[in-house]
Amino acid sequence: MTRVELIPAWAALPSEELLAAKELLAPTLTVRHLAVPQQGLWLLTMEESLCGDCFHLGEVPVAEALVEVTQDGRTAQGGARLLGATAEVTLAVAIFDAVVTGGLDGSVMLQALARRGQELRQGTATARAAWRQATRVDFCELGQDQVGGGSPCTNH
Amino acid sequence: MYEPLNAPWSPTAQTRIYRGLLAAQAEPGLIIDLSPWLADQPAWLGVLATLADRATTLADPGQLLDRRDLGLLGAVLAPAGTAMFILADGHNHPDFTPSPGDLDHPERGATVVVAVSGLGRPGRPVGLQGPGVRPSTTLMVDGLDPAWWSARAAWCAGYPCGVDLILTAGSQLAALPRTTRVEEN
Repeated sequence: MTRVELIPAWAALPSEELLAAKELLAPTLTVRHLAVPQQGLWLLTMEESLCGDCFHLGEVPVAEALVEVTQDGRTAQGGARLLGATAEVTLAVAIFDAVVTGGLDGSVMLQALARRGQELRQGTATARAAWRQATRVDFCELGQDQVGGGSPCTNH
Repeated sequence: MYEPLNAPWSPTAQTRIYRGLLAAQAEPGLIIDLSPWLADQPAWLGVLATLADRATTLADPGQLLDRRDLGLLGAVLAPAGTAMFILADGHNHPDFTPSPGDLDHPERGATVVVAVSGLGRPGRPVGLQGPGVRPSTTLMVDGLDPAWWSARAAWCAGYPCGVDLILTAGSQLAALPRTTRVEEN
């Protein structure tokens, strides 16, 4: 799995599981913040292209963390920015990112954790695709029905 | 092992520093001691930690900030002429012109945080007048190049546009908003 895939995979797991993994790694690591961890609402801004006026479309809960991790003299940096996660979980994922990126001890365990998260994500994606398919409306056939006046509309 | 982010990076410390800044701005020349909220860091770092974030721009012409503090501040580095916040060493004469804002947006005038050697102790006295200033207020400033006063007068000549100064020394600060008139004694 690539680094881009790892973070959403971890984020898909229950927070208790992530925090437990972080506690398991903690004795072997020194963690230093490179940015102040943040948790709050981000305004989604859209800039109108003619006059450059900004409109706020809404807000989303975001947490982020950027850390430097040291283990036996080896150092790596990691970061995470997660939607709807707590600062604590985001910090854990940032540490995981640093451990895997730097190839530090614990990488194997964290990659296994990410594979399970990936399976959960795939399961969710499959279920959502099934829901979409189940509620699909074929507007093309609706149009043909109006023109031809023959067969009944097909709604799924 | 986690290295915790202590003052001035904690929300509690920043809230208290902000209260101190409000008091200092409301009463120009009043010296505020921030030592309980700085954990031995200089007051200028506490002020910037409180005011700056990634939505702000910062100039550090004297390169007083180290890489880690810059990362923790999150502010985007910009030239002194356009930055919202400027950190400067008061011992040197100001070789930049901060943005004073414009008539549509005077609030865009820069805030200059100036590190000096001492406040309130024997130093060069300046008389203060203007909104919020108590009658006959004199501020003693040690370690500020005299060129700062004439530069500030020029930057604040076009009120409501202008530049707000925050003088810091050790754990202390004093504010000189653009409305304050300074008379060199």
